[in-house]
Amino acid sequence: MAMEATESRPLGKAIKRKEDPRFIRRQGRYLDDIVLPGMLYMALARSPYAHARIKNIRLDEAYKVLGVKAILTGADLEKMNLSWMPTLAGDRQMVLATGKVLFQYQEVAAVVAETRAAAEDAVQRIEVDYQPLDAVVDPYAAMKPDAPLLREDREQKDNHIFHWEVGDREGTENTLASSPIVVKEFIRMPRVHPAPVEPCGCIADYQKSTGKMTWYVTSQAPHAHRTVLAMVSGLPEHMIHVISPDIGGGFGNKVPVYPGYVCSIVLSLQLGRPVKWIETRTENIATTNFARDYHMTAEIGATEEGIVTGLKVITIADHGAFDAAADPSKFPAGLFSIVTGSYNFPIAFAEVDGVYTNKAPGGVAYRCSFRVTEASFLIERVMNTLALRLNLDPVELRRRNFIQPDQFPYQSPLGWTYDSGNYDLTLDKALELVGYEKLREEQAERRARGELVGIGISTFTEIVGAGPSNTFDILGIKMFDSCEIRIHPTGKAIARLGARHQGQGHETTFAQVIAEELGLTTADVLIEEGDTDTAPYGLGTYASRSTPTAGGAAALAARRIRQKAIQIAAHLLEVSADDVEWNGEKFVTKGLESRGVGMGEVALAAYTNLPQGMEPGLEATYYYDPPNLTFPNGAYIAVVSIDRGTGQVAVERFVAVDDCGTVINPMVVDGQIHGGLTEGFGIAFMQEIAFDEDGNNLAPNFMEYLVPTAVEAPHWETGRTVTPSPHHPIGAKGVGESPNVGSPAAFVNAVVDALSPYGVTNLEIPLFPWKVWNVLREHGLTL
Amino acid sequence: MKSYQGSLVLEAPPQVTWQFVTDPEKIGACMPDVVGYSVLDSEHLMAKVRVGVGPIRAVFEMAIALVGNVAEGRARMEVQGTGMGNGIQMISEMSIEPKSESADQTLLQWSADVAVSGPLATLGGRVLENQVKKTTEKVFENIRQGIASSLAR
Repeated sequence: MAMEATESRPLGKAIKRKEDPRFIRRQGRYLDDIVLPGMLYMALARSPYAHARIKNIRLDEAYKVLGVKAILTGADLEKMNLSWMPTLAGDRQMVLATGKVLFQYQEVAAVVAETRAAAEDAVQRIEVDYQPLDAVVDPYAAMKPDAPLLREDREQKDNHIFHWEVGDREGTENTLASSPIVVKEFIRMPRVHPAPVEPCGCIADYQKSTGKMTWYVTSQAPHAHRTVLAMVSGLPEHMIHVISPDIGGGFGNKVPVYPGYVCSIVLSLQLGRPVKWIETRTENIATTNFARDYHMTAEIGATEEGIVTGLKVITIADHGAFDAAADPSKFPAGLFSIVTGSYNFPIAFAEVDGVYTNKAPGGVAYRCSFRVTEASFLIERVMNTLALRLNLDPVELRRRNFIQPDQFPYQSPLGWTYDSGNYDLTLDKALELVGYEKLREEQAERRARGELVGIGISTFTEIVGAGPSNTFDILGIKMFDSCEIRIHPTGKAIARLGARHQGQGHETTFAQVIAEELGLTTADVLIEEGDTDTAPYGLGTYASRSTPTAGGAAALAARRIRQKAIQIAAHLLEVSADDVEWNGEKFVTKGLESRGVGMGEVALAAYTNLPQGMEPGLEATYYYDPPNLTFPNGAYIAVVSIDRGTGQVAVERFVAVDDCGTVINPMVVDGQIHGGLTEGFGIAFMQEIAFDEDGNNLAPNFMEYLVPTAVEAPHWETGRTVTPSPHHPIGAKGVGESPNVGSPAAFVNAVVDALSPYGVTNLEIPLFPWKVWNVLREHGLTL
Repeated sequence: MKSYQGSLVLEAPPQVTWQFVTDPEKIGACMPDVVGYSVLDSEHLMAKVRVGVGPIRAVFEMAIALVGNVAEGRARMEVQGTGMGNGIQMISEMSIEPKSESADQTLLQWSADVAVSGPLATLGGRVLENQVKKTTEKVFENIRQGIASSLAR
């Protein structure tokens, strides 16, 4: 049952979310709610072609629209050396097209006007002469020697972006060659989009009188965006104030910098007036960063007893027209090397080749920690294939290959050191919740009646919390995070963090962490994020990193306050500091528990009654650089049935048992799990950003790109085991992305299980009913 | 890019057909749902054409070029249009020859490669292909009707 924020010792309790009263009363303040005096509106002209040369742009008619103040083209930006901007992946991306366009809906011109309607009208009157060129849509075709060259600006004259590999290629190939059993599977994870309810946007407000730029932006990483803006624009960083207001979902989509941001800043600088730009739904889906688009081939070797011997993975990554993936600098394929998953592979090898195509750029960590969903989907799917090949129950195959508790910290063959886990325990809990043995009996009975019923297992391990600064950076900025806490004289606190929540519940959960450490209640602690003029520097919220990094900083900043507070407490108790201890709620005299003082009394004394020579005040800042990543895991079980008449898959049950270490707020964790499972359901059954052969985006809106609602979403049954991270200050691991990482494979494994008696071992997602129906028809299973 | 082809038997001699399909004035009038057109020279015209697919309606500015080779009995029509952020490109080849049984009849065989870009292509979604096929066929049907009515006058 949900508890009030006035509960003491709040860590681990289902405290009601402090942010919800304002959200449910429509009192959130989102970007489009902000209207500044004298504000102008910007709209973008976009290319209808996926690949075309620009011969001419005529603006005369557009300028005739009443209210138009200025129009920018790539040629204008070229004169300012701003027609290209750096991407987070170290590539560069056109801000406004010059020379040619490389994907449909690419930005070609920016119009700013007194009203949004006038700006949109003027966009329609911009005349662009295009010379269409052959589009390259298939990443495999893009790599052929005779493929059209897309990026003429690069010295390298082909469409290849990068080659990345990890592990022992030769050793793995030798192992596979000598393994009695080898299964090989091609698994494609199609292009999808995070599609947050609120699209991206910004207001650039440059005040010529002060020289200060205030930039309101839908940002998951406001400090990083401030630094990028300073680097791109040349504005001094201290004269840039980034405010990230309430955000209506991010899921990785609001990490990168987009051309519309740069244009609105340039126009505000030119005109000295605030310029607002906010995307339409189509602009969001068709141009801002997509996710996945990984084309993977995996081979697993095994003994006849089902013990895995080696794993080899070859991958083509379609990055679109520019490499704008939001991965840490040293990881062009993100953390894909978690692909060995929960299993004790003695040897492994993985390689990824990035390729340009005529599609929107991207490759964000859509509710996953940098390509972890791709890796997890692959290994969980191919383990399923191995179970089929060996005629083993997929549960039994997993048990035979799990990394065992006594192996932690576990060194994976692809270079990671897993912190902790008890995979059998998590799986046991899931099996118990779902009633696995009985379920298999029921399945057999239903199959005998002609029903198509499947049970799918996914026992995934994630890798989150980027990261240790010796390994992880973005554009050279180390991936630590931060928290500053100030205790006011009356014992209330304000804490500011470098993270930026987008619905995760930080205002509650971080208040719980700090309140637990300081003997306060959640109601006593106000959390602020998203303002670079007040919050300490941090790298933001994505990739499940908030709790592993900023959450660690919050706990350690609070402990730093306790270090000073214990001196003040000793002063108040008139004993030596060595004779005072913290009992979880207050400072007490050792051996005399009844004699103590709480944080409220200590706080008041910090401003009114200090020990001689002590600096007044009670505050601390901590920049937390985690020693390692954290490795949440889970065991998911899906039960499905398939309608022979329509191919429609019904998810009858879904049990999700997660182990995210110490739980801060079980209600918030359940909410995260429900949301992520629903997104995973969408990915498995409903979503693909497909293109036709000319590079036309065939799903740039919610008519074609489907987002599951409460009507489609199955009922989720959740459970949990707790294996704390040994290195995190409170043992927490992060959970926001686990359900999206782990669930797609469970769904697909269930559908494959339903059809495996008829010879089906692999199915390509999304499992649209028509695709499933075609498979049914091929196998003579339709009505 | 979608490719379509077809053939028409026209109740007119090849010479009449030839003059018709290489005359910008006549071809302008044959554009389906034409709003207006202006002839630029003997081989080029601009036409405004109303196009609708699914929920999208737009008036396209079409630049049309006609190139004929009398000796080979072949004509080529290139159409490039833009409107409301969409693009249409059609390259059509026509061969004109007497129908074997009758000198008063012409066999017009045509092929067309059509590419549609922009929201029209995306929002039009699944209905687009049928619509493009229908519109392309309508161009040649209009040519047939145009020749027939010019002979009737």
